[in-house]
Amino acid sequence: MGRGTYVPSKVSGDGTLQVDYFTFSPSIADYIKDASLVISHAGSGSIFETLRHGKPLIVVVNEDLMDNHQSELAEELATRRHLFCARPQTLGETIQEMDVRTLTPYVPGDAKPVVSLINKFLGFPDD
Amino acid sequence: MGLDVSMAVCCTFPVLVSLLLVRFADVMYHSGHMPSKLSASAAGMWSLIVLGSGGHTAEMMNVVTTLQKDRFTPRYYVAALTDNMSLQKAQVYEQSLVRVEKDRFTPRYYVAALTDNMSLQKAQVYEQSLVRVEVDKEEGVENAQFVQIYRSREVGQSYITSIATTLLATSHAIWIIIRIRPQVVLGLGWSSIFYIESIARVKKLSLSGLLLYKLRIADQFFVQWPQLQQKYPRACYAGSLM
Repeated sequence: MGRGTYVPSKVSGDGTLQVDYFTFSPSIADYIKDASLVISHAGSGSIFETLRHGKPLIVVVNEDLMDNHQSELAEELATRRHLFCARPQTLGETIQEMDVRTLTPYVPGDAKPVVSLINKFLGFPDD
Repeated sequence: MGLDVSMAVCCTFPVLVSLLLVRFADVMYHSGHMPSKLSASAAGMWSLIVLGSGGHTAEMMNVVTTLQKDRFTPRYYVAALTDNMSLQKAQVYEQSLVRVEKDRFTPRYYVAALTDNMSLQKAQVYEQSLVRVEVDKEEGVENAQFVQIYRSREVGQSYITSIATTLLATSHAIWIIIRIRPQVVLGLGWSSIFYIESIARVKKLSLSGLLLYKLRIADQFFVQWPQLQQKYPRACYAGSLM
């Protein structure tokens, strides 16, 4: 998947497990809305989109990236109990041991204070 | 008046390097003196909006949707050549603006006192700017422009080859700034630089952020975590964008 060579197999029908995949979708909001648990990479886009929909989230940090700042965000949000943070090796463990009731909802940020400071700097009156 | 405002959320190193050069030229020209306050006039401020990819674009679009569009205009959006989504998202947003303005509240009747010369004039200037957007759109020149640049480094690219790609990307970014607003590069204009460190940076700044912070390039430098502000006291923490 992605730039890799592994191609998963789709599973549908009467099986207990249904598997679907796609390489790219301009918006995954509908998939997130339908999910009861989201397992995602540590990209900030995926993280905050999932948190905004109030879904339980396990973030799996990619340890191969050279400048691994991605884990910073996931670990900070895990400390604040907004999500669970796992490594590829510990994902199974996390799924078994997690208790979604321990998670606290994330209060979304707001661009207004930043924009108002920019306006102030430029000499515009505050709205 | 030069390129008035540029805003960046993380990433897009080459643009920041060119802005650094631009600012250097500026400082040389003004020999260290701050210019008089930027004109907060009826005409908008030329704005360069640098989009990263993925989450960074979402952060910047949160800022753009909150900005007063009549003040920050025209808007030049910049994104990487290999990033197909970011400019598309900005385009969709800009198109929605024009539609809202045109369709939802129309016709618009402005009322002001007979002795008040200014208010209606301001409204007229604004309405004319809207018409200009429409006309420009038909001519293919929009109030919002979209520019693609080379990336200095792709995710996973080795540091040695990154040197060459960074040089290429930086020269291209300088060329784009010259093309958009030559006055800035020639040192005839003043430009304010607003940098917002990505929310993904919790403990330390990105390379772009660190350069802008240490060299004091940005006029306002925002971080999105309080603990980062404590580490970099000249930075400003005003909550998070996401």
